[in-house]
Amino acid sequence: MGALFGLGGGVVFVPVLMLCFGMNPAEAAAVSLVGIVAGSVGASSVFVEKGLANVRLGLLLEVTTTIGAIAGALIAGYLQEWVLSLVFCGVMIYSAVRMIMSPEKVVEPNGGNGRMSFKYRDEANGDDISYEVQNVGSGSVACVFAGMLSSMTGVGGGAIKVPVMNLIMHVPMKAASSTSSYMIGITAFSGAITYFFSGQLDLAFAGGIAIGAFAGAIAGTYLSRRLSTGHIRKYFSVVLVFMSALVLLRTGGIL
Amino acid sequence: MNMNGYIAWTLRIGIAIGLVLIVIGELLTNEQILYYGLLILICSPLFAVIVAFLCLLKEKDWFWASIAATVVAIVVSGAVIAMLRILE
Repeated sequence: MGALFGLGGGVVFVPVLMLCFGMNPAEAAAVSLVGIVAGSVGASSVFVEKGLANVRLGLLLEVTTTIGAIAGALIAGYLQEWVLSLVFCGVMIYSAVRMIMSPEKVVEPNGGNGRMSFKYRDEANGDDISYEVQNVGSGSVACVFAGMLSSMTGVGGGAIKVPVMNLIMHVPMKAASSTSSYMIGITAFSGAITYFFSGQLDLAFAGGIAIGAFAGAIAGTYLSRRLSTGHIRKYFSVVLVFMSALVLLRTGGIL
Repeated sequence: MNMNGYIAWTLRIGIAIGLVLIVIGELLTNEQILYYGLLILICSPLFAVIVAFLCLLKEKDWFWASIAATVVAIVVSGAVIAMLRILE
């Protein structure tokens, strides 16, 4: 799922580890972060080489997302968790509806090699796709918001970053999800290394999850490169609605 | 090889060494080997950002090099601060 849609998968990993393997939240989060890093590294090694993951844009948005995450961590204590979860779900459902209802808009570079002009080859149809990233300012601000919501709700930012890149910055869906896959590994590194050195990580379990996540990422990259943009957008919208349901169930104490 | 190629190979080498050590560690139930395998795997994204920074410096692409340097600084300082909190 991470490789296909640019999502970390923590929203699935953590409840599964807690419910099926009886882990406490900290242990589950630690193992989940290792799985996210393994999935991201496996997928990115393909996406970056193929030019699908936009390294420059990913690094730029990583800065703004991290600023948001720090701000979110500072103000999280002043807000009710259920309010944050409702906002998060509202944003995800809105993004899902927009992705289903409105066609993808990609702006071709207007001549020259601008700082925000990029291209990649879509292996699904063999076309070279050129695009110019739009609304960099508002997209960066939206990523600050994504980082805030992510750190306040504990759900990975991919669910918001991909729609921000696709709907606001007009980055083609495949490039947006691949770039998000690349970014997720960088974001998860800080948390994973902290758990690793704190001794809270179950090494044997984390090793098994890493192997599984890597295998899943390789399958995801294979599918992602062959699926059409329209299909990825449609399936991504369904996943967003599913994630919203999971977040609401968790907030309601059911998961 | 261009920047994307260097980054992809850094990630590939990181995950290959990491996973080989993890598999050996799991098979031999050796925590020491598992420890180093997971450490290499977890650090791979950071190594890739450092490689991106070096490639951008080589290309004299100062704007994007400064962005990559900022990411390295944020990620490393975030990890160090979190670890210091644990040690307190």
